[in-house]
Amino acid sequence: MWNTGYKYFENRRRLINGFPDGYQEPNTTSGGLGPYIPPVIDYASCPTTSTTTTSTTSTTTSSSTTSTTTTSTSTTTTTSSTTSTSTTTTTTVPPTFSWIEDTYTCEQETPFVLVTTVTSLSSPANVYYDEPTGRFYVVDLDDVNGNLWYFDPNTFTSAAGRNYVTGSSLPGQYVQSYDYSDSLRKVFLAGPSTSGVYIYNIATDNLNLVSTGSNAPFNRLFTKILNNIVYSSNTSDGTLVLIDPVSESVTSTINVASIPGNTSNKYFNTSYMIYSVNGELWVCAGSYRATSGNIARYDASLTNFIGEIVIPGVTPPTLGGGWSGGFWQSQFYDQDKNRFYLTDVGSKRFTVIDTSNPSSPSIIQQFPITNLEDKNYAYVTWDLNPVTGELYANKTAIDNPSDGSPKTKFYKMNRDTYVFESMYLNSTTSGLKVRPGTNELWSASPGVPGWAGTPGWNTDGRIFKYVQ
Amino acid sequence: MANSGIKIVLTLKEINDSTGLPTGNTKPNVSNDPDYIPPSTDLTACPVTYTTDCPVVIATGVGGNTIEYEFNLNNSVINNPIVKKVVVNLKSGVTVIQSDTFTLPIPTINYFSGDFTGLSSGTYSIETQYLDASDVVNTTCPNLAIINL
Repeated sequence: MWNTGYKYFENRRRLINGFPDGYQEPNTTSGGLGPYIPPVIDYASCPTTSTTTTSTTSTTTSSSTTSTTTTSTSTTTTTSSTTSTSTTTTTTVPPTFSWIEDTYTCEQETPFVLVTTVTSLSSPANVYYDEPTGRFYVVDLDDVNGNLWYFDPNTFTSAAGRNYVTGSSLPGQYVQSYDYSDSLRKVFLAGPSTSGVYIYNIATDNLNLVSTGSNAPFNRLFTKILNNIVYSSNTSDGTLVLIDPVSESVTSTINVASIPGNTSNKYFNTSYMIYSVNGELWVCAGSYRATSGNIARYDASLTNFIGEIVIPGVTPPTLGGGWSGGFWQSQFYDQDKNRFYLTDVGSKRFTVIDTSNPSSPSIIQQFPITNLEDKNYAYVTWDLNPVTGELYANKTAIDNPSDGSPKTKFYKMNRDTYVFESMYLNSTTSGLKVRPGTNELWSASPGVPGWAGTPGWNTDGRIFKYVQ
Repeated sequence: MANSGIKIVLTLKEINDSTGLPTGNTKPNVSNDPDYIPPSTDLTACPVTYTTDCPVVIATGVGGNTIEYEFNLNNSVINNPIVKKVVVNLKSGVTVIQSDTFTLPIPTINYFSGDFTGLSSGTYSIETQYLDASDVVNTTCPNLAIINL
């Protein structure tokens, strides 16, 4: 037997003006005059203990002999007494606990319902939740007042709720690549005129520039933290800079021309993305400036070219209007399911790669992106709902990157069979983030300036609040 | 809004294993937590309602002779006992040119798509029909999309 730490009340007594008047009654949940008093945790009164009782029995024997010499009779009488002692030892036993369902919500016909749209924003590109402050931080591509701001999700209903990070109106006021580390609580920002990568430390409210490379248009289209290293590209210098996100210092500057397999700079030219897959680095095409539509596999140090995954059918889109005619793709690595998704704008096609065998990833499925609603192309991004585990494919049908009337919808995709299970119209989940412990999801849409890339071009950016 | 029948746990509470009583501690239910509870079907907590709501059909003419279409059916329709099949009709005027039939339910699937091929230029419309177990039409949703090829 041991205490659980809970104290139960057998009886309750009545107080008149704070003093007992002598009346008491059983503490039952119903009946009686007073309210039921529920059990409470009281480790002082009811310490969590186990009680062990040890019994010891000792027997004492005494003998007495009476001799009668006349009759030569001898009589022996034996008596015994038994003494018992009990020893009680108390040992503290830690109670065990479990986590069970507390609050829940019922999924609606749509996985989440839009409840608030905050408009008149510049180009919010992504939102990041910071647990210690309870704030969402927003990277804005071209807000002339600041490229990084935060809002309080309890009160944020209009553009007036923006709180700009001091000094975050970066040189050129234009951000083209960014990332966030939840564990470090740091935001990384880079643009064509930023002279390097700005690192904002939420904990210390400090914005620090790590100088890298030279400034030029489209110079820093890739900034991402992978395996606790910040990678940031610099096109005109032909370098890939590695930054320690903790010390906020450059640890290596790689001349991309020296990277094995990068013949004619086909993998590291202007717009590319890098993913960490099974300990390798996979280099893929970014947005309409890439010179390869295939995936280059490297070791983690980029010193060993493992090989190329050829994606059948990929082709650059014909965008016209002065837009670069490079490959344009997006990717998503579903690490839990060992699947790597790639969508190619030019060929209008999904590709699914099985990564479960690290040494030989293989293409297991390709299927077309259909129903473009009279647009020429579609760009697809991905979001994973951290509460439900659902994967969403966001399809934006456009004619070119500056298309001001995109057709947006998203699909719930089965992570095992890759089929679309549901479709939701006129909406996007771009950068979907959960507010932990609530049924709220937040996301951002940069609007047209996100495509056009001119600082402060207009204010069609929006922040969405959903409930699920 | 109508329930889909899926319950999503938002927060977890800690209980004492011996008593089953809560300790007062709570935390968010997120997928990277070892105590994470994934969504599950719970028709008691989240009962599903039944409707015969018409879907929104998105259709596009492709290549001058093909029409691609897609739509989403709510669970309130899919779980409705009187809806056993969904027929998608491509019509020219009042004449049905081609049809696709989907038999329900297809587990976990709310999304349906297809295409009509070999068409000539002209104006087409798409309608859907809900059929019961005897293939009797109980709901017709006309003119869900108009396409000019």
